[in-house]
Amino acid sequence: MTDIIAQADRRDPALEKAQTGAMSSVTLAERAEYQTYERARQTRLLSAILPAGVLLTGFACLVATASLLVNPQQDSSVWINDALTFALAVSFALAWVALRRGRLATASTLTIWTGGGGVLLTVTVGAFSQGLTPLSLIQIASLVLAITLIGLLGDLRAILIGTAIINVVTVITLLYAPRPEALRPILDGQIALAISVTLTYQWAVAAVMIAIWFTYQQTLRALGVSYARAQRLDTLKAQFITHINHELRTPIMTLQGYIDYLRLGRARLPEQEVARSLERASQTADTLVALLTSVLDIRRIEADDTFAAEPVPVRVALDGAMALIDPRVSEGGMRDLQVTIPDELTAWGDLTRTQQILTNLLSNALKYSPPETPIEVSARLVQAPTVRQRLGRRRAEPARDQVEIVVRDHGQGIPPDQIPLLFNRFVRLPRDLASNVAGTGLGLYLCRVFAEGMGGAIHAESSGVSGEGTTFVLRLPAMEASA
Amino acid sequence: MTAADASTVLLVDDNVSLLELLTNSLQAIGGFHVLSATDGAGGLELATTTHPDCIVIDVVMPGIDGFQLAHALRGDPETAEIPLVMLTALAQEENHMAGLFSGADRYLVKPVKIADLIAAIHAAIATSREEREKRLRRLAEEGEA
Repeated sequence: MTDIIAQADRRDPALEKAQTGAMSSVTLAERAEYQTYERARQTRLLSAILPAGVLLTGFACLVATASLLVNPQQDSSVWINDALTFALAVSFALAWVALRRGRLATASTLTIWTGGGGVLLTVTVGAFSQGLTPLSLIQIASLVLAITLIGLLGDLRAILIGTAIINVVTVITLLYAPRPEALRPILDGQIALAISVTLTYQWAVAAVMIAIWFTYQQTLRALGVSYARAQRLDTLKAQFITHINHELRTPIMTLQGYIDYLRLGRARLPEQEVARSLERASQTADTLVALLTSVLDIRRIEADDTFAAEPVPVRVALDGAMALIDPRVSEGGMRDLQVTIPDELTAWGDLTRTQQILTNLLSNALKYSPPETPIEVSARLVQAPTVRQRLGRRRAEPARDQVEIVVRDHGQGIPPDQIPLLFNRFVRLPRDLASNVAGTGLGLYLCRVFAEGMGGAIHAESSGVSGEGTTFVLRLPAMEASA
Repeated sequence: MTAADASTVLLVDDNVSLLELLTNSLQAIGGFHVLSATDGAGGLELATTTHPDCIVIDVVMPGIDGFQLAHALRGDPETAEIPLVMLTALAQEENHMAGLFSGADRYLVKPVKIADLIAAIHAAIATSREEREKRLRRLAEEGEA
């Protein structure tokens, strides 16, 4: 089943886009999946950061309390610092409680403000109360720790806003904090340089955190998309196994039944009935073989999809397909088959694969349209657009002539919203499941793989209105000489 | 030939090949008189008009499926007592239980040998109303447990 899955498919545009950061093709389920990863990552980070923060600030509180008890006559800046330390300890503790209660967003926000704001206030208060000493200058350099913390827990916006706030505080501190007399000659001459170097370092760290954030988000998206699609593939495979199981049981019983019938009733059955039953048993065995072959084909082409290109006369390919399944003599009686194919029309690909595609399309046309309606097969050469015509068109438009083969029935059609599902492997449409039409859900997937393997493409058109039927359009590269 | 051999069996299956085989087999080997229908609606109509001795029902059919057909037969006093055998490719346990709860006396998963099908039909015909009700009560109790 899908698409579902070697991944899901060998070429997966959604996965490629997720890896390159494009979000439009990522489904809500896939987005939810990688957001789950992100929440798990943040939870693990906070589980490490918050206990450490509580312990460190708690220890600092104990030291500050002891210091105040021993010597209560402290400078006001010491009281402010101690108050800040208490506030940080309480804030970290609150964030930890929020995390334990599963309120991740609250815990993250509190941690960013507590950690980042705490570092910022401590440095600022120290610089303004004690002046720009060598120690306070080193502390200003440590503001990059706040940017790192924001980068670990926040998003791009938080990094940009946080870094800008830290820049402003840094500039204000360096410009307006009191400068000790002894250092004033040095600081006055180099403050502009100090500001520019400090801001450069801060933005360098911010740039690194932004790069890490972007690449991590891309990895998460790719993981989320892969995981969600693997889950869908598992579901499809399970459905496929159940479906194949169901599809096999009836023909096996029919085959076994004919053997029983002939074995138990041979003494009383007329010769004509014996011959007819043997013929029925043989047809049932053919059905079983076809079913198994289509399943095995999937494994084979996924293991090796190489072939040597050769001229493929379209009429010959159609005759080959009709040798296997002739719409003119189906179970429902004689079918009107209308063929319009120029004798000389020749594609460039693989004859066997082209025959297999046509066999599948004819078989579908037979199964999904009433016996009294015609089936039309036509083919034509589609000229490649000139260079001038190609300008301004999609780059993917083919640059060489193509053979277009159209198979049309006049059956019940396919609802347009289900057409995109048609060529996925293991998929059967609601109309199949609600009917007695046998199938594996692999036929059209094989058609697509074969067509693309030959450098072509296949698509379906239908209004979904009963009687208007379905049109399958197969395009293959044309042989150069026939252009 | 016993009285049971002359019983009438109604086959309901949308697979024409299998239906033809079963019709011939039950006639030639089982000695039954066989009626057949290729969908649920046709089966319901034949059951109501002919009152066969046993009905063999496929489950996956277009329109009325086998479960719905069994419910309809059990819900109509005229057909409620007719023995039912479900013959289906649905092999999962939940399908089996759904078949028995819908009123089938036997639930057979394809492929089934002709001799086993004939034996199941005989057994279903021999099942009394009391036995059927007892079995349904037991199933309900097991389901609740």
